[in-house]
Amino acid sequence: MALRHLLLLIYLFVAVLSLTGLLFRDLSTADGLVLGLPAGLAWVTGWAALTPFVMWAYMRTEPEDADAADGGGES
Amino acid sequence: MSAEAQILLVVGAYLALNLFVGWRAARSASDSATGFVAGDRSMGPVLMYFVTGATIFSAFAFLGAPGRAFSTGAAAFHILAFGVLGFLPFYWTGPAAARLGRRKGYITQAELVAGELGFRPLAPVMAVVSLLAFVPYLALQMRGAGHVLEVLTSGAMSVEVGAAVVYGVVLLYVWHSGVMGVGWTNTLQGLFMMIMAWSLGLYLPRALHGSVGEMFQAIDPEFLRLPGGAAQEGERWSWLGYGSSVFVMAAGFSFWPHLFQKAFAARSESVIRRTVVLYPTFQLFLLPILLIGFAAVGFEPAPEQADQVLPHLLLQLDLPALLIGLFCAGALAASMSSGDAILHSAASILVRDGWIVGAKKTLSPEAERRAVRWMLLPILVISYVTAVSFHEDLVGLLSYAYGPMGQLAPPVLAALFWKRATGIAALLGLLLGSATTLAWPHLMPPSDLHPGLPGLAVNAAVIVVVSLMTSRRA
Repeated sequence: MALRHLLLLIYLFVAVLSLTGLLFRDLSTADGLVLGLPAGLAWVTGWAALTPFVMWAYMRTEPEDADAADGGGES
Repeated sequence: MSAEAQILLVVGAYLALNLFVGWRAARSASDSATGFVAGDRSMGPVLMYFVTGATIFSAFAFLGAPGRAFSTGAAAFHILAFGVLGFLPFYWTGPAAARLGRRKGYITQAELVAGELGFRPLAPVMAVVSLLAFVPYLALQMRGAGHVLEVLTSGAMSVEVGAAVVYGVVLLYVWHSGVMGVGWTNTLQGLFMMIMAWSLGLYLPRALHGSVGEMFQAIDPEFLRLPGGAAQEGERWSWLGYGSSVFVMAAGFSFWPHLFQKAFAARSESVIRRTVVLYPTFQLFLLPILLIGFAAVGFEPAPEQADQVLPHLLLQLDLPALLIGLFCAGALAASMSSGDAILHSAASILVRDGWIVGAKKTLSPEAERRAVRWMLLPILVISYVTAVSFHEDLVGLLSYAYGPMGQLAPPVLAALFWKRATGIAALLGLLLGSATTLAWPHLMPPSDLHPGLPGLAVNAAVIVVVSLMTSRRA
């Protein structure tokens, strides 16, 4: 398996476990506010903010593909 | 002019703008079924971003999510959590479906699954499962639109009349322009609701509590601790309930047929991938929406229903009627952006999967386009009747719809990525998985476990085992 697939798989695995509460429960239920938000809300917002960067990095390393019929404009 | 009249004027102008944009969109697609249903496979990145984003953000997001935050506290965070994960499978399923669609002419999800697995009966069964979820989901959008208009006009416009007016406009532009009408209005609606969500999400905590941080400091920390409160007042949700709910809703998210179908409308595979990458930026707009719900905690007088938190706050704050009208338009945008896509998708599924693939009838492209148009009417009427006669809270209604919808994931994944999968296995998996989901709460001891999870397990297991025991038709 290519390294890019493996890294993404690990990221997604940790994300699923974290967002379903199976991992890092202490972090997501900590007392007090993080950046003005309750810990749980800061936790899920952090994942929402981080994921596009991870996916963007994964997409940037995509091998060139023909991407058939890439014609036509925004109609 | 009275405040109610000013609000209705703003709403009227907004609906007219939608009708104008949606009507004009007909120019950008051909006069064929592929043009009406899949926009001649020509949607670029801007349309795809707003179509997928605004389609998902619905009346549920604008009204149900603040209501859930207000009534159950941290439990509402699961709405953001499942959205982070939910669209990611589309990075792989979307391009694969688009490729097959271009090569073999597919324009619906069920048509693709039935075609790839060589098993026609799958198409009508998937269509029925889809429609069983679509009707409550569309009803939810209608109720949301009606609710907002009723509350903000102080009862001058009832839920029934409000829903009928808004969805009358939706019917007109979907009828005339098909998916391109959906696409361009969703772009307008998406922009509008993002602006309204961030404006209100930052303004209300500041107006009522001084700042977002001060607002949260004033709330009982236990209310803000995951997994939060249960739907029943005074009880807490378990981690089992929270985690299984996030998982099932994420699993079903990108397999909703009206969303999945947009893969066939995309101009290219890279457009789909870029849409998935950018998608969480749309998801982040749920954050201010949740802030609105928390702003209402401890506010007196409290709203009578959790779903009415936002309109209730706006009325109590004595804001100018113009601003309230703009908010009202934002909430209608949320309702319409999902409702139009569901309506359009449901009609095309009925004709394509039920009539053409399922019943093996042949229609010319013009006749198919006409049939899809006429199917809009019964779907709209059934959903409207459901909307005005069904009384559940909005999130509860959506959660019900997500159960069976998640069951579409295993057959679609099998059709796209597993050459050994067979049609009969997919059919049995879908039926047994859906049956397990529906029967679980009635047959098993009470539990917080989302019934969709055992349904998914049964569905996937049946597909694997039966596929290994059978062979695919030629």
